[in-house]
Parts: sequence; structure tokens; C-alpha cells
Amino acid sequence: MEINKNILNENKVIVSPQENIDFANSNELKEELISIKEEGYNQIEIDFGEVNSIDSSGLGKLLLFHKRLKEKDGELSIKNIQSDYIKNMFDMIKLNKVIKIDEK
Amino acid sequence: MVNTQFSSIVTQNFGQLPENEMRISDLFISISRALDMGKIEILDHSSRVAYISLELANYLEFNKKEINKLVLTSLINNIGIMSVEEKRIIKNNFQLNEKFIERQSRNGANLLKKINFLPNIDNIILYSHHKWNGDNFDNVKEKKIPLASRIIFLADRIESLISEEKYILFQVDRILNKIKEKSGEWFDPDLVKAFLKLAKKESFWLNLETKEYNNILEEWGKETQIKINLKNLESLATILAHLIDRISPFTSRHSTGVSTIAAMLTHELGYEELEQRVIRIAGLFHDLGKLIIPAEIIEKEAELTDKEYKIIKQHSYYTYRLLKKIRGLGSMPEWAAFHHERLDGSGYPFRFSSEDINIGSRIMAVSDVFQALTEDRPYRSAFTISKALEIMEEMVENNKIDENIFLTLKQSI
Repeated sequence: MEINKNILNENKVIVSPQENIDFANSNELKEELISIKEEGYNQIEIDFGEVNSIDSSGLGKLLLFHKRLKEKDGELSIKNIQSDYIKNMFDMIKLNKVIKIDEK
Repeated sequence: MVNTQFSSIVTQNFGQLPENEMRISDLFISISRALDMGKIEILDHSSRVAYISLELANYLEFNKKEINKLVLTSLINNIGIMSVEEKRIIKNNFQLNEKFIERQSRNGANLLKKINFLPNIDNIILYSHHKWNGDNFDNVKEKKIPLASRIIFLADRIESLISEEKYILFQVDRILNKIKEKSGEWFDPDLVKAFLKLAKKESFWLNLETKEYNNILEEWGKETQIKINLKNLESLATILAHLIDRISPFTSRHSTGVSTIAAMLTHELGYEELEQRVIRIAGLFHDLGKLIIPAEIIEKEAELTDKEYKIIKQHSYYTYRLLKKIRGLGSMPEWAAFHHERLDGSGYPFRFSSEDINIGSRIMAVSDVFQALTEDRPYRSAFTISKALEIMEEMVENNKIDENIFLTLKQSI
């Protein structure tokens, strides 16, 4: 999975997956997020600009990673959701109440 | 003798998938039952209001479609109520506090805004405590108030006047006087006239006295042909999960967490999208029975007393009973309600053991335990993920939860 990484400052990183998140690559994304966390960043924002769908596996792993980051007093957030399907999905299961969604 | 070969096949079973369509009346009757339960007593306000609305609509010769919408809305009319204490207030007081009414009406309407398969239901609920003379939070009055809302308001207030302590026919004169007194002020005068005629029938009252209204609603339900599909069920489950989770800030994301994790595990275990989806819906429903647990117990800071624990333990039993009444859900009632059952038979409330607990229910149990351990509780803060996994590993060793599903969770973290 191609993932772009943009370091904003010593705490914050923006991660931009370049394709849809599904069973085939959600583990890879998870590993990438964990390694970023282990480098000491605790504010991680995922840019969904290139993501048009996400499956149960991806959603679950985001939730679990959110829990991990919270343990380090950090925060996982998601921005730039383009797809209505994903917006509805987050709204449907109220994951938008758990993981911060930046509406900008 | 137990046929072990047979039981092992049963244990490997994921559970039965729901049908494509369910009856909306079944679902709404179940929701009304959840809304109607107090701590340990059954208040039965919503179902009685729905019965009174149905009788009024029949008397006024509404057509079938109008009747269905009216009765469905009456069943869940008080969905905006926040607590067991408020359920009691609305059932036992004729005059209600303005602020309370506004909040509960707005709450209810907001919750139901997204129900696109029953258009306008939110509007009916918003106005369902509106007074005829316009003395309301938004001054809407008389025929500007939807007719269905006017009927529900009248039915709701009639119900609040009935006392269970006294034989119902001894109460009729008092109730009629109270209603007449408010005709033109609170109630639509034409509806009051119709009600006064209807009220002459002893049977109208005796159906309430003898709880016959349950059968009458059941009969009505059989005739309503409105069906809902999985997508509709999912949006209703979301609303209910929201209602359940808001009982306490400590559990405000619990249902969301459980259903997201459960759907993920279903996926990782190799099941198809349909299975993932129905497990997600079951996850949203899993604590449905919590609607009857008073918030003060859920939020209590000190350790629960034996009595309080016994009250909490009802919740998964009610989740099961409420969902079981909805035909066509397949194994969803089991997936949702068996999350406190344990493989060694030490769980509650059915004390089933491994051969009776299917894969879907095992997934729910693992998800619920993990989500609960990693959330704050009034009496402890959240466990770290590694501590939670440690606790769960011990549960696996003691044959409480499914090892394979636990390992799948561990790998996903």
C-alpha cells in the first residue's frame, strides 16, 4: 500500500493512504501507524482524500489504533473525507463520536 | 445422552442469517416495551397510548395507512425520554413541566429525523405534546398541529389519568371530567367530542384493565404490511444504540465500539460482508435491555451492591426477549444478547455453555469484554490495552471466552 507521510512538527504527522482501505492492506496501514507512533508522534491525522471505501476490517483497526494512541495521550483524527459512502458509514455507526473527523 | 458429534457441529455454527424483510410493527412494539419498562416494574405507558390512539383512529374512521402511521408513532412517541424517573413522571402526572416537554419532544424528533422509510414521523413527535391553544414552546396551535400529534397528545394524557390502584370503571367519570375541562385549551374540541362518545363503551376501558390491549396491538401488527429491510433495521439500530449509550457518559461509545470491533472480527475470521453487517447490527442492539436500568446504578461510583448487580443482570435477558419478538431476525437475538454467557457455563442470564453458544455470540462476548475493559468506569479508569489482553488471556485459559476469536483480536491490535 502506498502511504504518503507528512511530518508537521515533533508531535504531529499527516498520513495519506493512496488507495482504498480493505482487508488486503489494512494490516499494512496498521503497521505503518504503529511505527509512526513508536517514533514518538502522538497526533496522527489520516487524510482520506484518496480513499473511497473502507471495510469492517479497516474501521475496526482504526478504532483499535485510536485506543492505542489515547493511551499515549495522543489523538487520531481523520480529515478530507471525499466519499459520501464513508461519511455515511462513520455517521451510521457513530464512529465520528469516537474518532475526531475534521470537516474542513 | 448428548451426541457430542452433533454438538460440535452446532458450536461451529455462526448462527442463522436474518431474512430480507421484517415487520415494522414487531420492531416498534419491541421498542415500546423497552421504553415502557421501569427499574423492575412494567409501566406500559407507550403501548397503552398506542392502543388508545388506535381506538380513536378507528372511531374516527381513519384509513389503514393513517392508522398505521399513527399507531407506529404512538408506540415510540416517548423515545426522547432520558431516564427511568422521567418515564414515571410522564405516566403518573397529568400536568407536565414545559421545559421537560420541550426537551423530550425535541430529543425524540431529532432521534427520528433520519428514519426515511417513515417520512414525517419526527414532526408528529415534535408536536405530540402540543396544546391546542398554542401555549407551546413555538406557539404552533390548533389545526397547524398535525392531527396525529393531537390524537397522541390526547391519548397520552388520558393514559396518565388512569390509576392502577382502582377498578377502571370507577375512574371513568373523573377522567372524563378532567379531559372535558381541558377541551379547547389543551385538546382539540372535536377530538374530545369523539373521545367522549368512545368512552361510553365499557369495553374501551376494560381492554386497558385486562391488558387485552397487548393482543389488540398484536392483531393490528399482523395486518400492517409495512416491511423493513436490513438497511432500515440498521438505521433504527443506530438510533437505539445512541439512546442506550447516552444513559451514561461512561458508556457513551460502548455500543459503537462493540459493533465496530465485532464486525472487524467477523471479517478477519473470514466471513462475508453480509455476516459482518448483521453482526454490526447485533452489536448496536446488544445492550438494548440497558434502557430499563436506572442511570444511577450504571453511573454509581462505589462498588455495586448485591441488589444493584441483580438489577443490572436483567439487561441481557431483556435484550433477548425484546429482539426475540421481532420475527425474521434469524440468530440476531442470540448474537446480541448472549454477550455475558461464558463457555464454561458461568455467564448469565441463561447459563449456557459452549455447545449452545454460536460463533456470532462468541464474537460479541469477546468484543464486549475488550471494549468494556478499555473504557473508563465510574469506579475505575480504563485498563491499558496490554492489561486488557492479559485479563482476557486468563479468561481464555479458564474457558470463559473463545480462544480463536481472542487471538484474532490480539492480531488486529
